[in-house]
Amino acid sequence: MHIVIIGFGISGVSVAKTLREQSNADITIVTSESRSFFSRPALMYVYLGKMRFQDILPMPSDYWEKNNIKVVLAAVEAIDSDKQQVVLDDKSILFYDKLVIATGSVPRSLGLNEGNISGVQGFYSLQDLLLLQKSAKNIRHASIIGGGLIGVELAEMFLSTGISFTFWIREKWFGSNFLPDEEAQLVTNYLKSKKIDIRFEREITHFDANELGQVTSLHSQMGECVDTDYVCVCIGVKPNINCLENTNIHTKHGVLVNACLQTNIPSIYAAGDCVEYAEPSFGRKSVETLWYTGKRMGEYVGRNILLDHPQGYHQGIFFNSAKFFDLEYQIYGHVPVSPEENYGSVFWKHPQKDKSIRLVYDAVSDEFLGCCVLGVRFRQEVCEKWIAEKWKITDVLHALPTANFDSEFSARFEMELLNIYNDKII
Amino acid sequence: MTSVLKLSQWMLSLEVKNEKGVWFNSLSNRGIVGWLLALFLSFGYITLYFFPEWLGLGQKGMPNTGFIAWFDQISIFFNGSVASQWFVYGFLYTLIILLMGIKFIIKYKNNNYQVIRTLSLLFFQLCFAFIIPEIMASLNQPAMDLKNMWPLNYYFFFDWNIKKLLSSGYFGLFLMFWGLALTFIISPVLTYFYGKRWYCSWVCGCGGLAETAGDPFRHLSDNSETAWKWERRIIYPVLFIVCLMTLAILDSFFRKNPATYWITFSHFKIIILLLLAGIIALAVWNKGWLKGISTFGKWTIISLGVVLFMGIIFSWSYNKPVLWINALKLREWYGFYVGAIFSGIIGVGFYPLMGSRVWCRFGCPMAAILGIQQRFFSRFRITVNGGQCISCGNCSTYCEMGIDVRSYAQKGENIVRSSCVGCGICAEVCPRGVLKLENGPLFVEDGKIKF
Repeated sequence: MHIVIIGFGISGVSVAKTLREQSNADITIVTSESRSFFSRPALMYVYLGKMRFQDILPMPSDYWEKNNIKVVLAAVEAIDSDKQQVVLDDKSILFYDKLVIATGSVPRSLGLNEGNISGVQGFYSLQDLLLLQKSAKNIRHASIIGGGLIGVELAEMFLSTGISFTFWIREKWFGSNFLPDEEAQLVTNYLKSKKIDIRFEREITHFDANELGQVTSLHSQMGECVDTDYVCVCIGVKPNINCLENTNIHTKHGVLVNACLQTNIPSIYAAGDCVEYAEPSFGRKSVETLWYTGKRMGEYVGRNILLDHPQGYHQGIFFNSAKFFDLEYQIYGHVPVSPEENYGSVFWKHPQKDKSIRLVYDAVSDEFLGCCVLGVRFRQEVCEKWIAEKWKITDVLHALPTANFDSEFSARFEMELLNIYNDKII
Repeated sequence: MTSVLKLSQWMLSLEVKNEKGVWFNSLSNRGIVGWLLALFLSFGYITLYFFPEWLGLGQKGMPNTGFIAWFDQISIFFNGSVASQWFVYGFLYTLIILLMGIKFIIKYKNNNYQVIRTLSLLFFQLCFAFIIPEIMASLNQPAMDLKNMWPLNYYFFFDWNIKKLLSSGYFGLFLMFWGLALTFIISPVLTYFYGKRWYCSWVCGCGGLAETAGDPFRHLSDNSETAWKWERRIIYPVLFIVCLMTLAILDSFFRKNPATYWITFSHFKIIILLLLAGIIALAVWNKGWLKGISTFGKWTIISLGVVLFMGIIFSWSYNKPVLWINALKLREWYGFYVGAIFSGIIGVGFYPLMGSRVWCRFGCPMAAILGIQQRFFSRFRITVNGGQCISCGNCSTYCEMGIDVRSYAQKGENIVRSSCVGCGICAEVCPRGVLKLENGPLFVEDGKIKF
């Protein structure tokens, strides 16, 4: 039995690790990025000098050899599902019994032909980091395009290394496409307090380049023209399905999979950012490009790929977390960006500090649906229990102290939330 | 010269900065400045311990000169006599903890745990280690650091210390009982409830220096499996030797003073044999809390215990010093190699090369005992918040004890390790808030939540 995994990110690695725990099958991982499995979200810390590259490797470097997992550094040229083989760019051929596509995602493009302008890049892969490290010394003024997590990371990186930059964001506030308004405002004010040049409601219309093809300035739809010799485009990611062109594997935005993460070809599975659910469950997107989702899917595929009748994949209760400079953010369950039908919410914000808690519930049934917190830590197991067992919001408010995950001696805010809820009821 | 300037600039800078750039800084990435500082510190310890006259300590009643003389007036203010090299050491040690402690508090001012913990360290260093002993000395009483307990304080059971305490009236007697209670009652109880952190990162003087002056070097602790192996290979033998030394010295003490005190030589013999038998019995019938010990470790404990037990009985029945040990030789050896070279020169001098906890991690017998307690009967642990680890490695990199925290966190496993001193920095540097130091009743057990 030979299992080939395309992709050496968290999804592919989770498949290999979980599979190795239960089987002696031959496992080969194909990657074109790096022979070392590194933590992608940690690339920024290497740039910051907080960690060295060897520190962001989640597993000891001899793990692969010790566990008889072959890692091949090559790009995939073609997949032939009839002959069950993968052709690599060095023209070698890998035969497989089962194939896992875990190719992850690639940065979205602005569609301004920026791929042909030098000095315009994304910040996503190890190669991007090396390129940025090389360019950093000579940057006079940088531009960050896109108000997402990577944009904030870049802002932190540039700020700490003293590179002047402008931060271009399409939305009205930072995060208003994934946070409720109050939270988005809180984060926006927090970012503004860092004395960053942020410009909201801006779309980039075109770049200017000199005769060498090097970027010199950019223009926004407001008629602004800003001189810049380095641009980072981070307006989100999309599934990486380039290597699936000219195959008979069905794709739309991503690799289409059934409830068992199987593609239309039974011996081929997919996991991670590249996946698109044919039928997403309620309240979830069909493409979920998250570390946690990739890990969960990878572990599922690793456990089930050798079974004849696998159980369906459970997405579990949604959760995510992030950090904007020093401001931590966590979300559990269903927290809509704007009020929906029967939307009930208890929202508390610290009068001075950058902290907030929001509990979302169904105003008719009083069922707890989810919560999101800024500057506060909640306990995942507890939140998931409340959501899964459909607790009433009043019970959740009384049990709120059990969800606290802040470090010892931290200030507590449970009573404030209870008071806000009680005031609302009266 | 530039490196000295850079160093002092950094010492004085109170800017709030996270660990950004530590691997780019020559001081904190084992660069040239780091090596120079390590040389300077090690050399400083060597002169202080072995050649104090180079620093101007007056020989044979002559007045102090040079460096040591600068501290004469301060010493006279505190205890009425001119400075000794140990006064200078204690004074500078406390001063550095205070200054670097303030820097640390400013750096972590948003984290109450770090602030309160550091204030505790500053308090115990300033009052317990420095001011109170000086007051005791000025009142012609035995001077003792009330928080320094056996076996870290390896001379507590030395004959001269026992004699001094027992000849100082009720106050000396109080100190004797305090020291015994600290080791055998107070510390196990506190460790059960709070883990070894109550001592190692809240009270201890070595910990105080490591947490404050050592903070910029915490990422230099090796977190490989090999380092962990060496940690166990060194720290438990040190604990074993300190026990053996204490036994030999008490033996020679009782031999010289067979019935001067309430505890006679034969009482002593019975206590020691019962203690040993107890340890062997526990290792043989190890059900429940000793489960975690490997078969090899278990058999080592049992066979070592039996050999010692027989050896002790034989040596005593031939009326020889216990196990035929030359207590004075062993004491000299331990004081020189462990007390001076390991805990001082390597322990502090190597901060910029091997991280801030070399001594605490590889050598301290106190840490070894507290660690065994923490591992097998303590409520303290670091909990992991569900599946939220992104394997970034900040926790492992900034663990001063070289624990590979990430390897547990990414599996969602709680961290229960004997070496963890509970400094809480892993939880602080985690970019997703995944870790929490806890000692309350268990919340999640076997995947079920208990309220």
